[in-house]
Amino acid sequence: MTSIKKAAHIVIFLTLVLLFSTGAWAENKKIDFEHSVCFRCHQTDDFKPSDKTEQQWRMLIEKNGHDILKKIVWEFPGQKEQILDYLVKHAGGSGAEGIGVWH
Amino acid sequence: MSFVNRCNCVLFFLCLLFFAAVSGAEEASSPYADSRNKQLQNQVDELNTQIEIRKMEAEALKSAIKEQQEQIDGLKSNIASVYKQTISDAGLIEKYKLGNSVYLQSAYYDLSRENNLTDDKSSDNAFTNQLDIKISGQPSDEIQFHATMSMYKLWGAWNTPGDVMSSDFSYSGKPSDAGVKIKKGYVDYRPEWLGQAVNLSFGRLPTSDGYLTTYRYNRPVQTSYPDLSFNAESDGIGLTFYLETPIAKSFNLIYARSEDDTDSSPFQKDAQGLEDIDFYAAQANGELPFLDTTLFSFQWLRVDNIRPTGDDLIRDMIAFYQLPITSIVFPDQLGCVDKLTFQMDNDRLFDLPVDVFASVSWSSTNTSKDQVIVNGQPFNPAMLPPALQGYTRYLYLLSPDNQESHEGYGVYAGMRYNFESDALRNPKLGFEYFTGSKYWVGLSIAATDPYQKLNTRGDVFEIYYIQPFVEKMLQMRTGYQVIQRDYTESLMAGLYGPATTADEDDTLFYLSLDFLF
Repeated sequence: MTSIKKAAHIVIFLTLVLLFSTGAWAENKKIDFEHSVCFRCHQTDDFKPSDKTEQQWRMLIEKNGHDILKKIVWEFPGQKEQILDYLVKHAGGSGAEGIGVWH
Repeated sequence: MSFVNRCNCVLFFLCLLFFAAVSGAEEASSPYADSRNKQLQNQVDELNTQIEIRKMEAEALKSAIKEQQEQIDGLKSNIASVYKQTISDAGLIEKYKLGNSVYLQSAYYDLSRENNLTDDKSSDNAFTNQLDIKISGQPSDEIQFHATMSMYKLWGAWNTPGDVMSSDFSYSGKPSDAGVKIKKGYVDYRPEWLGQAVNLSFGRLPTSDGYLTTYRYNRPVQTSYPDLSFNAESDGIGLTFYLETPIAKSFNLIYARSEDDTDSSPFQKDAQGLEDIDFYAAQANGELPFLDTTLFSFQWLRVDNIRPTGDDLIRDMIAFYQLPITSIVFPDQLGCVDKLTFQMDNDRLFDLPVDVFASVSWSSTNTSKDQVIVNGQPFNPAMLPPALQGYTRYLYLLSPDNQESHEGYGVYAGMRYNFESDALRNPKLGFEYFTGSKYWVGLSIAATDPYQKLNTRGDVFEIYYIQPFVEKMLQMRTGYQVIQRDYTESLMAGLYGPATTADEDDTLFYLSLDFLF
């Protein structure tokens, strides 16, 4: 086995370790969103991040467009960026293609 | 004081009181008093009137305020409606890509090949332009349409797809000329009368360019097919069933076909026509909720009725060289290939700035054992002049004589680190590894990277760096591939010809500028 192949295996192994060792912490982070300020007014099945595109989430949250409908009272500094980051990462309509793929 | 004096004093006091009362009564009943009373009464009346007026004004004001409040509420409602519409339009424009989108890649490749068995070394470099123009639309909730027109060429080259021997599988995936080819053009129909739980796709399907390539090219996913299963252009039809389960999300059934390339009469059986290749695929797509909603797909693919390739060229060769061959019969089909592929990927795994993917695939050939019959005998390359014998090397399905079936496997894994730095425009650093066994059949026919690394029978390592200049619009990519070949790849991404022992080290350095809009 060449040294480069060994290095590749080590990288893959470390990735797997990272994947499993951070699971519990990651679950906590997910729960944060599900219990975030959004769900003081919305029900959990009112909307999904994939319902809107990145541009729509930016208009609503980043540019305070949501305040026209109802002002969001953020609970702590940085929460707005945190929520926006989550919504953008899970936004729909990314331009992906595939058989039977809709956005 | 005497009693009489006291009486006089009392009487005097009473008289004073009497005169005072009489004087007051006279004064009250005088004309001046009447006038004064009237004046006061008028003032009271006027004040009452003013009070009434004020009351009416207050009522009117209340009414006006109420009206204005209603107008303000209406205005607010209208503004909210307009904003909602704006949001909706923004989504539609982005979602529908009304008009088009563009992907343009200008790349520089530096390639070197080193054959350790013969000590042969060679190197080359190339500049390429690749342009994808996409048109898409979703005119209703039931229908969407996608088309991709593509150009891929070396700078200044005027080769046609025929010159570079492009098959239909890679017609726009192999550098040729400045002409535009249709890479994809398909419609999705999701009828409401079936609750939009079933989707019909038809046309030139999105089966090329790969799914996991989204990481190293940093562009949207181009297909739902797993990379290790099939990466080629194809015409066909597919059914998708959407599932409402925590893990399985959809299920695809796909049929595609490749007509015999010697068939000169499109709607008539050609005298020398061979079998059409049929593609059948069944694919499950879903996510693993216990693993940070990692996406996965599992696909079974059969490539059936695989016909001999190049039969028309061999016939031309026989005629040209006037070989002593009186009859040649090609088998209608050589056999089939089955592939089972599992693939999983996750962007921002556990909300870490790391994207990871892994895929494994098993391939198996099943030969029909039929051979080319020449002058009534199985074809023997020795009957040809030595200079021509090499052309028959890739005549059969993953073997020199179509007698043996083989199994192979491929493993593909990678990770990409996202540097979360707005100042640096969020660059990315990635690493990928692939290994393919001796009889691995990659079917990565339309991959646009020069070595088509996922067809390799050996090991491949790649490291790359992506530097956005304008995020999601303009980026620079650079990377380095090391390929260690243990066996030859044979023709058509491992489909035809034997896999023979090799010892070759190839490297590739690339640098590209990519524009996405």
